[in-house]
Amino acid sequence: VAEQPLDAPACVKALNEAEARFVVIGGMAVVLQGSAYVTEDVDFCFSRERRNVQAIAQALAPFHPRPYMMDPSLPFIWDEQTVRNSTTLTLDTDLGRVDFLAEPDGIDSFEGLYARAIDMELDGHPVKVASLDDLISMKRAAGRPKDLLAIMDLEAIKSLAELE
Amino acid sequence: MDAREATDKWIEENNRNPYGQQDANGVDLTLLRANLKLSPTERFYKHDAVRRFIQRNRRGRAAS
Repeated sequence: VAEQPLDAPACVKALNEAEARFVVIGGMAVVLQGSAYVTEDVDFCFSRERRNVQAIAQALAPFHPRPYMMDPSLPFIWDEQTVRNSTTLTLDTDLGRVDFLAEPDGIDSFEGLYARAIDMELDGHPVKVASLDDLISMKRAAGRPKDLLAIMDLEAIKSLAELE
Repeated sequence: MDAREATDKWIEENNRNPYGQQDANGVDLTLLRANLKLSPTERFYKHDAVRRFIQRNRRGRAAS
């Protein structure tokens, strides 16, 4: 079995080139904020504005997105309509597992999340990463054991940032 | 502080707290401090190395 890629920088580059509006959330955001958490996918929160839906469909198309674990014999269409009609997309792509969530639990809105996000750079590509408070809130809303572990890390990072 | 003193101080601290600096939840603060000194890109590649290591181990276990 080949090693599974997880090329978050390439994903961010493609989304930026398509001028998409998105924020990194989930485990990868926890990692970028400084945790030693390990994740197997990249999660993005996205705006469902028409222009943005077009941009996401265009950006991901070259990387052959398909629903994660979907029977390979079943047909699947990746286009603007698929993105527009989805609140959650869990995808297998040539870049690795990529999820798009329009309305993750624990935040007020995409615009709020976007406004509070931290500007970072990933391999030279500008990217907005969810704030520590929003990540804690989303992880608390998800409430699984692995989320509780991430919350402990995030709260420790927050304390260190305040102290140092 | 000379080398002997510094080493003895480290031994004393390490004996007192063998798991390194932790918060009340047992989160390793030494590890977090080290990560916070890295850039987001460095954090990503460090994570990717660990992720690949775990994947290789899982495959090795499945094959044996």
